[in-house]
This record gives sequence, C-alpha cells and structure tokens, in this order.
Amino acid sequence: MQKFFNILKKELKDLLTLKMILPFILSIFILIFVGQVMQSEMGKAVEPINIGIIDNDKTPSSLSLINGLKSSNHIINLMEAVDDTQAVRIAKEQMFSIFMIIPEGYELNLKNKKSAEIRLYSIINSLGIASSIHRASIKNILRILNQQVAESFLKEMSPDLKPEVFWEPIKAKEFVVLKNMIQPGSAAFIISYISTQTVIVPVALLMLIIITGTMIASSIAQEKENKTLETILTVPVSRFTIVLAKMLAAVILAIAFAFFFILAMGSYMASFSSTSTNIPADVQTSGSKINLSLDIGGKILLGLSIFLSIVTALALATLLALFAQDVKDAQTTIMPLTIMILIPYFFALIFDPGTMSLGLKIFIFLIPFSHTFFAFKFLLLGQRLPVLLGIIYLFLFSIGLLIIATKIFSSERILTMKFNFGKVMRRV
Amino acid sequence: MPALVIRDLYKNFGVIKAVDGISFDINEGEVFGLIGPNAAGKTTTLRLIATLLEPSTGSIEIFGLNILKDSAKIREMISYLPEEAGAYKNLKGIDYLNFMAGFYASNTKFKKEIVERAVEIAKLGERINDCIRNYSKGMVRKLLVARALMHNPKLVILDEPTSGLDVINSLEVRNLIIDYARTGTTVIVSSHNMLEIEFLSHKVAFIHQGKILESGAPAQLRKKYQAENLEQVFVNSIKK
Repeated sequence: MQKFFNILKKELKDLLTLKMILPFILSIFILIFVGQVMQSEMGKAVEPINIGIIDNDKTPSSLSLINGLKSSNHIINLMEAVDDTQAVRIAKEQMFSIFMIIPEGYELNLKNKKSAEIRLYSIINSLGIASSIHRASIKNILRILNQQVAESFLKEMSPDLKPEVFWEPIKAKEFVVLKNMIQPGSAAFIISYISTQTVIVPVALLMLIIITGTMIASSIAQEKENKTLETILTVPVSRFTIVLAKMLAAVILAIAFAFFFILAMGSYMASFSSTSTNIPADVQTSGSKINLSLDIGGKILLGLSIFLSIVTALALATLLALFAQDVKDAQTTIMPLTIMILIPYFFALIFDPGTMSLGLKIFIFLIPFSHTFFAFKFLLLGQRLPVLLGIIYLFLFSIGLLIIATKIFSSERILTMKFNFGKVMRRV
Repeated sequence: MPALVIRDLYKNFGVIKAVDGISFDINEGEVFGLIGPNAAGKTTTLRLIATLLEPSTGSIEIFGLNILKDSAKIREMISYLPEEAGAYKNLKGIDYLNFMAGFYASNTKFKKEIVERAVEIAKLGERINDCIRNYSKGMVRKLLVARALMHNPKLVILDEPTSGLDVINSLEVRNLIIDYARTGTTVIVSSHNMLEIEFLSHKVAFIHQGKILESGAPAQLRKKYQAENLEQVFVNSIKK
C-alpha cells in the first residue's frame, strides 16, 4: 500500500503541471465569462425600454391603445413630428429603439370595422439577444391589444358569447404522466426541462472521460519519452500497482477538473434560466410536483455508470498509450477513444433510444460509453432496467480491458510494442 | 553461490537473433564487464537480467533465483541503470531520490538513511534541491547512478553508465562506480568503451552478434592474445 501511495503522490505531482492545467483553467474562465456576459445581456432584455409614440389621431381609441402600452413595464414617450422622416430623426436623437405612429383615421377605421393601420418602426442599433427580445415583447403587447379590440367587436355583435369561449372553443386540459405519476401540466415544459438538464450531464461526462483518458495516456507516454519506464519496471512493485496508481491519479484530477467544470457550466446555464419568465406558474408547479430529480437509487445507478465509464476510458487509454512512443504520439493514439466518446455524446444530445432504428441502436449501444450518456435520460423517465444492463455491460467491458492492459504492462510487450498510429493515419 | 548464472540464453525479436546462445557466470563481489560494439546484444542481455525481457530459451539465475519464476524477489535484490535512462523532470533531485527510496525502504528511518547515502553518492551539492529539468546531462547521470546504488542492491546492472558524457563527467561517474564496487557488491557493466571496462572490471566478456567470443580477467586475456589492451584483444578474437 505504501508503494501504491508513493507512485500516486508522484503521479499527482507529475500531472499537476501548468502545461496540463492551463488549458483547462482557461476553458473554465471562458465559460464563466460567457455565462456572465449572457446573464447581463439577458438582464437587459427584461429592463424597460423607451418607446416613442406619435398620436396623429388623438381620439379615445388611440388613447386607449397608448394606455394599453403604458400598462406594460416599458416607458412611453409621446412625440410630435410632421412626417415619418422627422419622426425617425427625433427617435434616433432620443435613443428610442422602437417608435409607433398612430395615423389619423385610426378610430374611424375601427368604428367602420376596418383594419386600423399603425406604423411600427424598429431602429436596429444592436443585433444582441436583448434587442430581439424587446421587439418580440412589443409584438406581444400589440397582440394583446388586438385581442382587446377584437373582444369589443365581439361584445357589440354577440353580447352573450363569452370571449374566452370564442377564442378557445376547444379547451385542452393537459396532464403529464411520468414515472407512474399523473399531474396536470404541459408536456412541452417537462420535455424542455429534461432537455436542459440532460445537456449538462453529457457535457460534464465528455470532459471527464476525455481528460482522464488524455491524462493516463500522457502519463504512460511520458514514462517512455523521459526514459523512466525501464527503471520503474525494475523496482520491487507489481505492475498492477503501477497501472492502478496511475489510473487513480488521473481519476482524482479528472474529478477535480469536472467539479470545477460543472460549477462553471452551471453558471453558464444559469444565465439562461435566471431570466426565463415565459414559463407559466401553474406549469412550473406541475413540473416540481412531478419529481424530475433523481432519487437515491437513481443517483447510485448514475454514479456507478459514470464510474465504470471512467474506468473503461482509463483502461482503453492505457491500452492505446502502450503503442505511443512519446506524449505527442499519445494524443494521436487515443483518437479512437475520443471518437468512441463523441459518437454517443452527440447521439445522446439529439436522439432518443425509443426513436432509433434497431441497427442504429445496436451500433450505439455496442459503444460502452453510450450507456452512461443515455443513463440520465432513462433514469429521469423512471426506466432502470436499461441502465442496469448498461452497467453490467460496462463492468464486463472495463474488466476485460483492465485485464488486457495489466497483462501487457506486466509483460515485455510494454517495451517492445511499437505502432505509429499517426504514420498509419497519414498513410490512410 | 555465484551471483549470476546464464546458460544457453537466446532472445529473438522476430527473425532477429539479439542474443544467440550465451552462457557465463559472475561470482559474488565481482565487477563484470560486458564489452561489444553497438548492436552486439549487450543491452538485450542486461534487460533480460533486469527482468524486463523474457528469454526465448535458456535460463538466468540470480543468487539461485530464476528470473521467470522469482522476478518479484529478484527486483528487490537488483538495481538497473538503463543506457538512456531519464528522471522525472518535474521533480526536484531530492524528491526523485525520495520517490525511488520509497520502493526499498520499509520505514521512514531507513528511507532517510538511503536518501542521505544517495545524496552523498551523487555529489550534486545544493543542486540536489533543484528541479531535474534544470540539470545538465552529467548531473542527471550522477543522480541516476546514485539512485541505482543507494539501497545497497546485491547486483547492480549498469548499461553504458558513461554514455554521452564528457571526459570529466565520465571520470566522476566511473569513480562513483569504483568506490561503490569496493564495498563488495556484484556489478555487471556494459560498454562499447573497452578501455573504460578494462579500468573498471575484474572479469570481462566480449559479445558480438549476440554471441560471447571470449571471457576472462583483462590481464589474462591480454596475455592470451599478446595484446596491449582489450581493444586489440577484441579485434583479435573476432579474427579468430
């Protein structure tokens, strides 16, 4: 055990170099920075904006329209202009990004049951998210005002007809059935909620597996490059201990990196959710009533699946790194591992196992990492059997790879095996 | 009991016969020199003795233990310094010695003792506390020799210990080995530098194309071939 910790300590020291951790720290800072910028930009979207209005009609109907707009949280500024060109100039001077002209005859048209035109000018100074959200919000206000005018028409024509019945003669009361629970609510919200949740898990997992794989491969290749491998192989310590200590060092650092990455990713994702105001309260309540988080059993299964994926990645990277002659070579040699991770990653983001063809399903689930990438989705839907089967498959796969990796490490092949993957790829 | 007994040792890499049926013995306390040109089979022989490679056929016994059956026990008794060995560049010299001592010392007191011995052997002064990446080639080699000798191994295997070093560093490393050999430890050292081996060894063996051409004490071989030095002995033994 003492020898194991001796190697583990050295490995951690060896891996914790600036060269190794700098790209990771940078990517975390970039993620946090982008998250902050997004949050600030989304914050601007809910801030009230200045809207200019030129009322050339000056009738009770135009006043009602202006009052309707005033009831929103935006700041309404009444303007005077002889024509549209002058109005644009004034709006630009006053820094209004939106202004509206209510032409003369607006009320008359409404009274005659004709379309009453208004002119809405958007001055595009920015292509940011906030700017497009503001324009959408004005459109929304106009939609409500249109509805109000239409309801007043309806009242005149058919006083007994309730407007809500007119607008929605067929009313759907939505229910969601999930994990054997029935709750009133919108399936669209539940699916969108699950999608948001299932983005963060594969991204973190992708990072975790790629980092651990790269670390162990670099660690083994470094021993070859620095000509330290032969020495370490002749000291009185079992080869299995060497492999295990190297793997554990990579896992410890990868978990630490993944932890900080998830925090950064959480900050990035929060920039979207913190300003999300368009989810109806009752729907949110139904979402929380249906337990969308994992219970203890689900968490254990997910944890086990992630752990076995990491072990599989480590064993595979170890196996591939045995062919590498130096660190640079190791980056190319572990390419098959990266491909094996990226395929299920993208599939888990886009596809649902239920909609895949049988052939595609077999192909995807032959890749061991797919089981972990899809595990979270399965568990949220209360399906434990596929996750359990995946864990068994991952366990057998990782044990098989570990045995092969340790056998090679324990034999002379670790010194004699040579395979220039980069050269082969270039030839191909 | 002889320190090392090699009998009919063969090692093939595909069609290449790296070691082609060699046999020799080394007695305890002897410094044994394995001499030969490049690609003669010296490194393969030493790697076989160091338990890194497995013989195609034949046997190697170290203090009565078979390298295939008792490799774990053998690794506790030997110390191997490969020709192009390096050290962990991110570690300080002292940390490297502490790390390596961790494999041989069962307690802190013994670990401290062997590290102190290594520091003494390496003769790097204050530079022992520097990061290895800042060491010269000579300094790294001295550190590695110190590492190889620090735990008093029963058999020291040195492959081209002065390879690539300048005259001064070569002399210093050679003196480290001589000083250590005086303690009665068995040493097997390989080199293509025959004068160096003559200077270091009690007994030598010439290896060429995987075969042992001749072996014996340097003086005895010089007399046999009526040569002034081992280089002439080697040339004459090839002609024979």
